[in-house]
Amino acid sequence: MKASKHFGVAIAYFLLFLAAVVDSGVALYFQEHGIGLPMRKSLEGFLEILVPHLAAMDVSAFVVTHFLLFTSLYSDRAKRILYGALLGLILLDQSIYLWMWSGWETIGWIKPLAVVALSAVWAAVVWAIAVAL
Amino acid sequence: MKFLVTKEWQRAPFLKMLMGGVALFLLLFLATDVVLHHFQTGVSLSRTSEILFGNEAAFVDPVPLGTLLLWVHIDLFIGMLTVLILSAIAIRLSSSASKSTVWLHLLSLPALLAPITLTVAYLTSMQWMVVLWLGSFMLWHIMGVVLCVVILWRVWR
Repeated sequence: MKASKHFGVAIAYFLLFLAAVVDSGVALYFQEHGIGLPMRKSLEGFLEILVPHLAAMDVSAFVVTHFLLFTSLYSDRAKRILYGALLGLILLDQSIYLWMWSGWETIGWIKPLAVVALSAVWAAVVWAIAVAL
Repeated sequence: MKFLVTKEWQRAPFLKMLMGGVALFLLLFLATDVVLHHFQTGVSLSRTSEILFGNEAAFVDPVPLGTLLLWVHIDLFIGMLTVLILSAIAIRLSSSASKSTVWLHLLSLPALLAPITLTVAYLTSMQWMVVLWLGSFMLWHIMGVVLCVVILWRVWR
């Protein structure tokens, strides 16, 4: 009982941290590009962004969504849809620069939409866990 | 796998080694992070103010917003992982008599506030926000070091 209370506080802080990380990432993106199309990056330029995010975003997604294992408030199907949407949007968001680098520059308009959609799904996951806490 | 059934970490040598190892490296991280921030953002009132707001007399420009946001983004992510791992281990090792969560708040809240106050200080040019950033940054690092030492002591005594 004592440990679960402590873990509840730790998880609540984790969710706040996650919200702040996502917010600062979104602010960083729009500070660099504004609301227009992102600039095409060199191979080195997009790898500098892609590589740390491939490590950080899926680890964060795994850690945060595994808390859903401990609640029966949501169906297994809903949990799988949420996690699938998170992983799919991470892949889409991070692959845009690759498509642009390979010559398909018009796909750049999807990037701001993907950033906003990904933030919304992160918020949904955080909210779902906060409700279950 | 015995630990999963009994929850007795004292009788799981590999688990003790895992927790001690990560605590040792987080101790090294916390110490070197202060040194890194000395060069990046400064860890004194005068240096941090000069980096954030610039200094006309010394021809120093303020740090660009993009650079500051990148520092904050990285700090938040690393802080999140560090706080989560340290608190999870400390909760597992804490004695059953302790019901207080004060130490948990003293570690987590300043770690969360430090990057936020740094951003607010930059955007508003408020000097007292720099003081708040310095206080929260140092507090969470000191609490982190204390927790690492406590974990190491409990694991290897």
